[in-house]
Amino acid sequence: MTAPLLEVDRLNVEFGEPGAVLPAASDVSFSTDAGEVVGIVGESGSGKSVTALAIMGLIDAPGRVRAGRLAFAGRDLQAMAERERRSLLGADIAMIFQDPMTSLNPSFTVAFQLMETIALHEGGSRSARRGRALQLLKDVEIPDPERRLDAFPHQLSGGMSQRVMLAMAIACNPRLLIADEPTTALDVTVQAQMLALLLRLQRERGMALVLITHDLGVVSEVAQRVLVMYAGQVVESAAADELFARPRHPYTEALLASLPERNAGRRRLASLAGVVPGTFDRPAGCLLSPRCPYVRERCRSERPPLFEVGASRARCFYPLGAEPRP
Amino acid sequence: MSAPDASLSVLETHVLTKHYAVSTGVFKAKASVRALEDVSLALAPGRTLAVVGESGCGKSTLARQIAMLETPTSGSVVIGGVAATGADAATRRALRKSVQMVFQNPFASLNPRKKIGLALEEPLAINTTLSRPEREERGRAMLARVGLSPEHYRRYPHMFSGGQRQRVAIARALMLEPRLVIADEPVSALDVSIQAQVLNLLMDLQESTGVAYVFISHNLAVVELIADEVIVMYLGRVMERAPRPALFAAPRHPYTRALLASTPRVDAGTGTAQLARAARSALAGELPSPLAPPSGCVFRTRCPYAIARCAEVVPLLEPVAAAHAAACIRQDEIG
Repeated sequence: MTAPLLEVDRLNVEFGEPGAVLPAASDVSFSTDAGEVVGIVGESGSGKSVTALAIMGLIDAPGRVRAGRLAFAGRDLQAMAERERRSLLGADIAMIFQDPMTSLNPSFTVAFQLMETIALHEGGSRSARRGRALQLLKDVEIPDPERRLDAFPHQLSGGMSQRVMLAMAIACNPRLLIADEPTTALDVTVQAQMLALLLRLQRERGMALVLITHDLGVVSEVAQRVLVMYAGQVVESAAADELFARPRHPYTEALLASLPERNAGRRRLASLAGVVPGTFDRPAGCLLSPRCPYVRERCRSERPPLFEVGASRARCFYPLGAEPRP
Repeated sequence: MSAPDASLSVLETHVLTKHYAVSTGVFKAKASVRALEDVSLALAPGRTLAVVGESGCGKSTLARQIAMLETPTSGSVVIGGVAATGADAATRRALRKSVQMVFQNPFASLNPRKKIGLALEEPLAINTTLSRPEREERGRAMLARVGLSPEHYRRYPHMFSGGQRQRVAIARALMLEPRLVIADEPVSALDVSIQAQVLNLLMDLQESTGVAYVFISHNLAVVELIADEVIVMYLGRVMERAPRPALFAAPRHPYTRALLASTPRVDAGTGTAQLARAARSALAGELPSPLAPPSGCVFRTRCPYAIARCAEVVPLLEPVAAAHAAACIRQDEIG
């Protein structure tokens, strides 16, 4: 199979009325191969979660999704019947969310919720499903899994709930797992356990993993390829090592420079002035132009496309460490 | 840590302890959560003390005792040389002016129905005899100091971004010119580029006003930047106390080391490096229930170095070097 597992080409997600349209994601393109870990980083409102929800088909009206192509394993997700698309969800494409406490149904036991997923996609007898559920809890390294099966969500800690969410997500051996801020709500020592677990499962099962996070540290330790998003656009995409060694877009550079660990010994943090533009104050040119330290005349009037810059792609007329683009 | 000299310290706590009674069921006896156990510390003016730990470690409980929002079970809080614990109402009211708080969530800590200007003037209206024009003058001056513009004075909180709201919260905390500001996770809810702006602001304000900070955070990268001294807490107890450079260069307590190893960092390498590192830090399991903390050392159930004796003795904070102490009976063996 030569086609990538997931193809996203010029994905647009919009909210709002005509005349007051908020482009939550504009022309987002990327692809993921089986067994690959892609990180999507960005600050709040950068469109990273909306991109994931659009891939999952979870954007409801009045939100609008348009894409040049949205395909999973060579099958066009947009052309497919709603029923067919839904059958892919949970089975071949699974997703876990940031807040494990609100993602589980508080009224049902862990076993019930896991067995429900298995029943929906695979069927099998009650006892077989219970056995599968137990095995899944073992796979996600939950201590004392026999007892946890009959626990209710409120009896679990945050880390444990997130493990249950992960068990549910991998129940049907998905080929693609989208994890939206999976460790943000967790304490740092539990976060380290969770990341190690995610990576182990991803390798053992050859899953593709799309990891959405605001934490550059997490991305740098986990992802092979990284997309940086700003105000709904991909501003840079590159191999992880390349991105952290040679950021090409001023925004990526500023993000890295504002990390406290990159400012050791300095008295003040390098910081980007201003805030992300809102719906109604979008600049005419490059969306970063009001905050960019390298801004020039052209940036204020013209929106840059993604340019090839060395081994990376950056949405900038004047990429760092390279010739200006025509 | 600075010498515990009352004339120098803006804040001291002495064996501060707070237990909460919690109900475990309708017909069951109340259980006791030992949220804070024997915490002693001292903070000099113009310095920053960072309190680090994960959820449930007692860092916010400590903040509430210092801010005089609660009465400790035992031990005492001394603010600027005046005992706050057990003081009469007038003394406490006077002391409250010198201790202010900044909270984590700037969306919840500002009254949505009050204009920013009013929020800034309110502490002055309550605590001073200044006239309205004087209060407004001070409010506007403070707004400028935290990097907001004069037109923001008559706006409502919903018109601001998270970073701007946190600036307002900081401005409000500084209106009474406190000697001590307790900042409880002040940048955790902010995006990384905004976080940098707010941290810079906090440091600038400290330089110009000489205010001392108790900076509560779970983020070691932030702490490394802003703190002068650090205490690391776990399940209500202090595990390690050290000047910042010593803590990051030579952490002594296994929990501090695990925290440092677990913090994701951009320059730490990818993929296999992460797995190896996670395995190395090897903090198995999760926080035990604070209702039934482990006997002996509270950290022993997750500690890679735990031995049988750890279950028997409660480790005391033993000095390691000047101003550096750790609560681990094996700290000399594990080096």
